Amino acid sequence: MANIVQFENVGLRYGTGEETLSDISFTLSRGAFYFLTGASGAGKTSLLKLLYLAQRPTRGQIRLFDEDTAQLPRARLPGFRRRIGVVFQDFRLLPHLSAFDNIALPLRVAGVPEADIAAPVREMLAWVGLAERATARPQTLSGGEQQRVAIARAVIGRPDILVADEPTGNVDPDMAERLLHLFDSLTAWARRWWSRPMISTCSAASRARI
Amino acid sequence: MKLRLIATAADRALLDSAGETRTLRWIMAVMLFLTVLAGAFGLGALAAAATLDRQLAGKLTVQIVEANARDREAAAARALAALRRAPMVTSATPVDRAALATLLRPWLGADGADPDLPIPAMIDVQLRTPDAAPVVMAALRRVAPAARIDRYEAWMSPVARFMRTMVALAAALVMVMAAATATVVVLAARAGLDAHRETIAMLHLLGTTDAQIARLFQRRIALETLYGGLAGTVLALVLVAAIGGEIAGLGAELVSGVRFALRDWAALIALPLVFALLATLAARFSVERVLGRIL
Repeated sequence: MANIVQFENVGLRYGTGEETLSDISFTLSRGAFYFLTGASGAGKTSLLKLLYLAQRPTRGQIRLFDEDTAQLPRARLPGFRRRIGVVFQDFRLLPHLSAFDNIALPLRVAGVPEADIAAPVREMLAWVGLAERATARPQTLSGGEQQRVAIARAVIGRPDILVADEPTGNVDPDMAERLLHLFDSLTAWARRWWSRPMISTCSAASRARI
Repeated sequence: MKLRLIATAADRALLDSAGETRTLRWIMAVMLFLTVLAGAFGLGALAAAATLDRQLAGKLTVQIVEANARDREAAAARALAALRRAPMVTSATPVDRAALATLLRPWLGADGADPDLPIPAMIDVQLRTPDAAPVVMAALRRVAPAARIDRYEAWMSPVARFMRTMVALAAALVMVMAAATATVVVLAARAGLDAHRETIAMLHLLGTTDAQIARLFQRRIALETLYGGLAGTVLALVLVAAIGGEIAGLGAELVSGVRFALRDWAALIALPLVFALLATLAARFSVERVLGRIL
């Protein structure tokens, strides 16, 4: 399966208005890092929502892992979602959970025994440079720290696809650069260990820094 | 995310409980308090109805109403002999005249003891089976045409019917309380879904199934129902026991039959467990139904 994602003439309409996305067709192959750029309101986030199965297209076909997700029964969606890691612009950490528990969430959802969770979570915390902040709640973390926790949460389950929606949108420029370098090292690591595609939306300025 | 029977601290923490009120627990305490009282009332009426049946089944009183004392005594003697010969009669006991006079003293005073007062001669009869009454009555009339025969069941049957109506009413009350409990649980589950909307949205995106999310809510609701239900049940049982003590002290024959057997107490104690199970199912069903409308 060289192409892990295939969009074919995909359209998306919210309500009865004009289509937000029209005739979108593309493929994503293994081990690649893609940037999705566009003007504000162009539909980047909507496209990513289709990709991580938060929306169904109003027309067209989306094939993930060789299956048409538009026709997928609702009961099968959780299994597909567990194979997709998502980093959001607004982090979307659960405020009542610590950094450790936020990162552990995908493992718990997947049914990993509690005894097998601590080690990979601590490794991930160390990798994003937050080993000392394991018990900290999101409200006590800076924007950059929260986004690093969000990135750790997105990758800890070794997803087949990693999607990042404006991951640097809510941090200062210096932190944005550091996060993009983090993604860079993640890509290298991904290519070596698990060959998954990554797709990220970002502004042109962020893209220029890489 | 498997919710085991004994959930780990991590499972319990998935839904933010900070700021939650214990309103559901108090509501369930009140519901179970009322349900246990209704159940106890029904069981008590059932016990009283059973006592009534036991005590009245096959009982008669024969009255020989005759102004002339000699004729009255002769008729009473013939009636008593006929009754004692009848195979369907377990016992026939003449009521002592002095005892009758004592019973009538509140109305007749000392005059009740006057031997010239034409008080009817009375015989208490116990039949082997209630069906034997018509045969015995026919045999009695042949030897004592003036005898009046009172079947206890005839004048107590409205009381027995009333008891059975009370039992049915109590059962209906328990069912209504169960339906009200399920409704409260559905409302609480929906309120919980609304309050934890962001958490649920995130869990969905991480690949959590509806059943996994539903288990989080059903566990919480089941525990709140159980804790509140146990509290309400204990209070109700204390009240029931106190009322039972008052009834026993009355000494009245009918209500003294209102005594709970072990199985009656067990049925009342089981009510909070039954309601907790009902709440679990109602929560699970309503949460999955709501989640099913979300992609």
